[in-house]
Amino acid sequence: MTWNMITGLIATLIGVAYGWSAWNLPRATFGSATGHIVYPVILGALMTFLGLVLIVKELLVKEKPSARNAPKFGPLTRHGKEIAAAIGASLVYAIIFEPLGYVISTILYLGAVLFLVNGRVKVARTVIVAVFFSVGVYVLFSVLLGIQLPRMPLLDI
Amino acid sequence: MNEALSQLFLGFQVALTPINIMWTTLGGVLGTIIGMLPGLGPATGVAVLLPLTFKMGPVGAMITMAGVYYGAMFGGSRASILLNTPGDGAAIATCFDGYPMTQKGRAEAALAMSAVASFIGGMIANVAMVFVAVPVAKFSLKFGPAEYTLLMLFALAATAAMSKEKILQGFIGMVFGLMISTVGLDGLTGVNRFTFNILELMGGIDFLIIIIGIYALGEVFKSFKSVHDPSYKMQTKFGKITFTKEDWKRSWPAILRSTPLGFFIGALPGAGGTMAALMAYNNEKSLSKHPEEFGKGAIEGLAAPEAANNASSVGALIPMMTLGIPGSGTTAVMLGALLMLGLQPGPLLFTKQPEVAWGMIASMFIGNVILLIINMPMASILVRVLSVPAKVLYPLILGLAFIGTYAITNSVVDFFILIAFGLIGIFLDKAKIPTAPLILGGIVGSTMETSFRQALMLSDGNMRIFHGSPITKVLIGLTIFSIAWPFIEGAIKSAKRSRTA
Amino acid sequence: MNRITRILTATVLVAFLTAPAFAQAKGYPSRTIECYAPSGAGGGWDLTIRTVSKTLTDTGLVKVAMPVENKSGGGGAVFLTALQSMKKKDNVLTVYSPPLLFININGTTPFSYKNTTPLARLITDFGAFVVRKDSKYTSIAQVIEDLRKNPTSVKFGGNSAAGSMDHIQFLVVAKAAGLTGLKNIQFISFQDNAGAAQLLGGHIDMLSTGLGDVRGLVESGDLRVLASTAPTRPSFGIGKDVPTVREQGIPVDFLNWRGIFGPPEMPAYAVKFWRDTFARMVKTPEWQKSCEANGWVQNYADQPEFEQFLEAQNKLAREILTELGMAK
Repeated sequence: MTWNMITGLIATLIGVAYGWSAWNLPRATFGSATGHIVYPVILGALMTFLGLVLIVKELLVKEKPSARNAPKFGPLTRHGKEIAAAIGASLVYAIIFEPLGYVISTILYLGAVLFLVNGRVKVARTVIVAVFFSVGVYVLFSVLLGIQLPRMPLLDI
Repeated sequence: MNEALSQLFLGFQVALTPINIMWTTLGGVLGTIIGMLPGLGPATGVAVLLPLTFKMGPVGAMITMAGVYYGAMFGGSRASILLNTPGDGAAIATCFDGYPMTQKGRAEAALAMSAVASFIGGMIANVAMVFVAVPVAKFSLKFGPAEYTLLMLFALAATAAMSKEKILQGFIGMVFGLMISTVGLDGLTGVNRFTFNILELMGGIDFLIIIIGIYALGEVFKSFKSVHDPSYKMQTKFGKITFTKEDWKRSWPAILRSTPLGFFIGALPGAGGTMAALMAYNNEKSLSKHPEEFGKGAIEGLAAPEAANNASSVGALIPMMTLGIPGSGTTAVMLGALLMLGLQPGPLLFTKQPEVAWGMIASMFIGNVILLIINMPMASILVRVLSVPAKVLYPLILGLAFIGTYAITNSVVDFFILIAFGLIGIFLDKAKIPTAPLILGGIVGSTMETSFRQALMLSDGNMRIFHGSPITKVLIGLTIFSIAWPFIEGAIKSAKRSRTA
Repeated sequence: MNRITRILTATVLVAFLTAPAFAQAKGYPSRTIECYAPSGAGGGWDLTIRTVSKTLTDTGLVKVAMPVENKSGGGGAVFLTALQSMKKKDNVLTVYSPPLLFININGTTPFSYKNTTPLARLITDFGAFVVRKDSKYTSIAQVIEDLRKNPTSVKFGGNSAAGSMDHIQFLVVAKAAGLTGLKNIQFISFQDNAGAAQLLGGHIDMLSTGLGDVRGLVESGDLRVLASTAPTRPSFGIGKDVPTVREQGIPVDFLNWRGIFGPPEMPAYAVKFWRDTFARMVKTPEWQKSCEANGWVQNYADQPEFEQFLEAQNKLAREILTELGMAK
């Protein structure tokens, strides 16, 4: 399975799903009832068409999948695991951002990502960078520029 | 002509007082800093200044706010070039070739060229502001929904040409971008589209977030591999912030072409710096003799959007100054400030308060010179960010991407969108889908659709509205030309080749 | 170890002493008042709350800081949801106007003005129906007459979405003038305040907007106001030279009111403080000057009157939106 084939499949899927949900949008109650639907339906159809063309093209070309044009499946590499972990950390960050306030959540997040990349070496650097960045950005935004960021609970700063 | 000059002279008398020179510098520097910070653009910068401006008086306030506006255009490109994280919307196009230049070790040249292109774009636009503000404002009023539709179509058409080799993938990206732009409340019917009952999505997805996701997050995720590569070296030696003669030879035509384009797009209410920069980039790519170098560090691909976005920030002041209507988010805040200062923006501003209007225009000449002088040494400091080890820098870029996203909408919902587009960025890279068409589609999509429907409402469904006026005819011509040109050019080239062979 | 425990205890104690739950009614307000604009910077809500915050701090009526934060989205609905989690807080203020009612009626949000603590109505802007200087229309009655003959004959637009302010304020007038089939009247919504430019460029026939928004262009003579939706002509600004719809025989008015709201179940001491403070603020010369500069008409109403007003306005808005088929 080549990347182009995957692109074609995904595009077709998105095209159908998007077009279908566009078709099912509530009709407008005044003015033109379907004015807001025509364009998305066209986009959905167009996307489906483009995806199918790409699929057909790939089937005709019959390129041999290689490292260059096709993904490798199987267990995650170290690199893949790191990306997955970073994404996981980012998701956690999004969840704790408002409840914990900017400074604490950012220290935790940056600390996690820095640890992920640097491992057990230079832990001190990891901590210092995470704390300085979080506090620095907070001071710059909230104190100097007056752009409010989520405050820490309890302390209310 | 003479009258404009004598008014400008009056303006310089106002702008050259020490206190106003100070405000000009302050505004410009603050704007540069705010522009550099991801997510914070000129609109936020002006809003941040609001409480301070009350104490400055109208002249000082306008001078400082204008300084923030064009200063942000200078600053916005810094993060684009160095970190692949655009500081604001207008700096998106600067990523395309600015970051590849950095990767090639040419960050110094990129920073220097962006400052010089910004300077020239700003200066020429200032001159235009002095002499043609009123005619430009009148001409921009001729742009109704039909004209906007075609203008957006023209902007999109160039993308077809942009990705000649990967045309199918390019189109898929473009349609995806157009799809994203349909998310949100449809103003013409009051119906929510694709918002999945998430209130935060009603206002649509801010495209800057998508770009930060694809470029900054995507780039960092991809780079996790190279971080552990022992042969991977950080830049440790830095040259002077300057560019070569060859760079200049390639860039100056691009700057001169992009400036009037940026100025005019900026003067159109609702178009703005992002579109100006992207259209300038597209133009240069389709006109270039080496379109294949675009996206791989072509310096003219950096100079064009930089000149265009500065010129557009000047152009955007035109509807505000001459008509009292906001042409962009930033000028909307500036209008609010004018009101709070007790001034009445509108056509009479130039006659009733010439010292405010002309003082501000004159200060922009001074401000551009000051910013050019400040930006060169500042760049030589900023470029040292590249000497930060990748293992520290990349996590910090993640931190900046999130704070930038939060600064745009103050909403954590956008964090999830950001992460999703980071993943999409990885996929686009693996599947070799060009990103520029996706981004352009997303930015012009919503205006194109809404304008199209508005036009049909105005004409009671008659398509003639799209080719009735002279402007529409010219735009149709341009659109057809920009689609056909790469193919014509290709044909000419192969004809030449066969002749010489 | 012992020292660490002690430091920890101290920290926790300090944290709790400054915590919101322990805020005292006495000496209120003693800490930062969080002001929220439920929209982006530069809009009407933003301008109002910033002016309020500035006036209160400048006049010394409030001695603590009052920073303004923008929480935009959903036409104000995003912040209205966020406000629900600030229940009982005594240091939160926000601003709303008629869209607060619309977003509830049209189903955008389940929350309504009843899920807030209305504190005071401060100002009013009025709707204005504006045409180019060379337009054939000289009165709003002529526009209505043309619409009666053919609902798509007048191309009219505004800067709000369909079913919101600029659209509704005209339909209120049209309904009062006896026009039926409001659904068939097309409203062309423009984004980014492009409406005035579209009118000037001759692309639409009439713009429905706020009286304050087009002052510059009306003073310069480029645009003409057919009518304002004020009950009587205001005493200053361009409103004093503009006939009201009432004067033209249509017995209705539409107020673009703006008021200050607290979170639901705001503590009584805080409510009392803000009612008193706003009553004093509207009498200060600083506030009067800002209102004049912005073209706002002072229209102060204390809490009880404001609540009654909201109820009446809500009923009116529901009727119109129901007729449009937009009420949920």
